Amino acid sequence: MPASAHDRELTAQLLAGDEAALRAAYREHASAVFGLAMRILSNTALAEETTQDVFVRLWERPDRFDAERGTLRAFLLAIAHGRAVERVRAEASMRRRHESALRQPVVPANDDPAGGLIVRDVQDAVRRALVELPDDQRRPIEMAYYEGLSYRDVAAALSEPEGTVKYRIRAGMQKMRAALQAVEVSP
Amino acid sequence: MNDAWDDEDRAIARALDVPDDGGAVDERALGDYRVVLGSLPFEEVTPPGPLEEQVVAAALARRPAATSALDHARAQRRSRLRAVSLGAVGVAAAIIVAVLVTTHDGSSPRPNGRITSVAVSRPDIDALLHEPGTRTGTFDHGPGTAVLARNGRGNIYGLDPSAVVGISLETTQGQTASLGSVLPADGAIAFSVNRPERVTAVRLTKPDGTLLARATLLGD
Repeated sequence: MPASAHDRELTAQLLAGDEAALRAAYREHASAVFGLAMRILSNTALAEETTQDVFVRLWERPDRFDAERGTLRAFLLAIAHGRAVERVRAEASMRRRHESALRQPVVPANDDPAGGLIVRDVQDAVRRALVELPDDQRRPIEMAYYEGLSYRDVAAALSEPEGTVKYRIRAGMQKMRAALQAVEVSP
Repeated sequence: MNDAWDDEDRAIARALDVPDDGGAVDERALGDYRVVLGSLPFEEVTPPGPLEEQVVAAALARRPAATSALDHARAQRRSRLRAVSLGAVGVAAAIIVAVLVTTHDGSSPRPNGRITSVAVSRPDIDALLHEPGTRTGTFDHGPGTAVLARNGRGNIYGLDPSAVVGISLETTQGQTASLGSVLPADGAIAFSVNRPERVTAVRLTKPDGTLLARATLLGD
């Protein structure tokens, strides 16, 4: 899913070293980045550090964002997820965090920072696809994404073979990708 | 159940930041899966207010801005003051000012330009080199070549890809127009300028403005 013209313009300004573009990117996407970091880390200070890492990295290397391969939001959330998961895995109290995270309800995002109808359509389609997944596909995806668990950890938590978990995650992810592609090709 | 890994498995694993076998990945699929995961529901949370300033300060410590937010604020303030002044002096004065501004814009010796991309392929550069009227110049210090076509599209290539450089254009009136600073991916930068015929040379600078090299554009 290629990025919007707005994302491309913002990135060009970041490449040119425009501080206002950094602030604009922060104001558009910080709530999503911080929210995801909080979802994974359940810790405000660590989520702030993660958010700072994400936007400093964007500012240092805006050329890493490839507008042909996705939206700026997806790019920033991917960085946020990676950094947050690194921190989760580094924590000795990881198990406690996971149990806390398991108790948290999944709350739909209450606004659309990217602002575009296409982005909202994509989110709606992917979320519908997630809801329609069988539990044995949806649950391991949520555990891997929101809790930062490896396939092995997910398998241990669910008492399933690791290969089975990998297969089910693949099946579920492919269905959600198909939903994404259906939005891309529809008029 | 197959424990072997294929491109799709790796794209999914990398999007989820879980370990994989380290093999090749389908980048398009990885991009799609990142969009998928970025679309999953979670509560967006407004970060604490002071974080924005912390983030900007940390970012600017790593890479100074070519254009600061203060510049934008000053420009906006100047713009607002100009609007208020125009309102105060009345329609007649506004017409005069408008005429002056129009005249000034039309004869300005300083072109306006901007960096458009740091992802420039060799075919893009070759296409520009083959356009009629394209001028080129080799930098006098260090590697690199500048290319500027009649339509205002330009490339700079062969640069050191590990260093941030500032780009500015010299004009026929001896002035310079800064395009900003950037880290050239694969040593190449694309830019565009609105009055290419008035550009005589391209300068490379350090981000602080210190001149590194200069390429005079020839061949028109």
